[in-house]
Amino acid sequence: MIRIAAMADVHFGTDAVGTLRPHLVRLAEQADLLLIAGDLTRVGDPAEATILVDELRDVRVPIVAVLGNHDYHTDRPAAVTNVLAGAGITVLEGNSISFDINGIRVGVAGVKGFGGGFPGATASDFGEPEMRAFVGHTKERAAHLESALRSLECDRRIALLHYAPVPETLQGEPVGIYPFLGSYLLAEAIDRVGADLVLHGHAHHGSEQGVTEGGVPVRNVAQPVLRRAYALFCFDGTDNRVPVELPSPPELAGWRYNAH
Amino acid sequence: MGDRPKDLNPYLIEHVRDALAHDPRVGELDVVVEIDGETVVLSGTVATADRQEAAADAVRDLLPNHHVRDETEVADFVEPTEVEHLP
Ligand SMILES: [Fe+2]
Ligand SMILES: [Fe+2]
Repeated sequence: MIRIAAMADVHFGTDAVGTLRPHLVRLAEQADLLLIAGDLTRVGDPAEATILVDELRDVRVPIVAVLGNHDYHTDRPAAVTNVLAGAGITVLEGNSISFDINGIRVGVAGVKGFGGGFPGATASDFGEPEMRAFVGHTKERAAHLESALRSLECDRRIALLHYAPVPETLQGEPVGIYPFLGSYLLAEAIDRVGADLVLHGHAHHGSEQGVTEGGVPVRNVAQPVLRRAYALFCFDGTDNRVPVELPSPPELAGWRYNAH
Repeated sequence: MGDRPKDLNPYLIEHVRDALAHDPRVGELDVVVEIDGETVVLSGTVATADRQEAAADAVRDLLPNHHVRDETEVADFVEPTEVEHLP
């Protein structure tokens, strides 16, 4: 059994001190691994990453992250990565890491990804250099994702992205902006190698569940989509995908009915 | 000139969204902006109370002659109660 906690789009800033930590106190009891699918910071300021790292200090399980577009906004992704890495968080970009958990080997291949759209409405790698650079960036990220996944010899393989690989998990967003929210090239790369789960964020108004053409489950774990601090997944070797109630402390009963 | 009345609000909405993304106090791309006459209506979820306040301030700075109605909510996402089982 491997238990995964996943979140995305915390958009942490120096004004967010203390807002996340209280909701993570049970995470280490509930999961063996925490995966963060990008947009860790508000504008990619290393000071924001420092605040987030402090907020995560009680999470006593390995943490693996990819950066999101917000983490690039002030052109300091390396500094943000350094702050995270300094706190023991693994930041992936075109590479992978694996863990032995309860005798099962689980691997995570991570890449930010990028946009370009989905079959029937995609940007072409053609014309102006800016347009070719846009699609070229996605092609490059997808190729890195494929090789990172291929490098994993594991019982379970997870692709950790920021951008979406399928349109289903974007439902709720304006269709016109789908090409800025993800690309089929990411799903194609995943399907070429195979994986057991794809996690992404970025689409705050999207939907939780999708699937690649090859049948790999895709989950949008953006906090505004989940309407909770993180999602929990369990690989237990059964085909039972029905959500199961966890014992929850009484003070949390009814949280679903708080309108946000 | 056609006789169609000029509605510049669609342009204005995008300028407001741009300001909310770039204002160093805000940095939010996800605030829903609508303009109803002289009123700018903000909705959706923002990450913190500071950013909620800053978003309304940024709109007032950009459009001093408009009224701002702030219907945004501050995110407060607690721990999950369900686990999804995968094979
Ligand atoms: Fe985000
Ligand atoms: Fe994003």
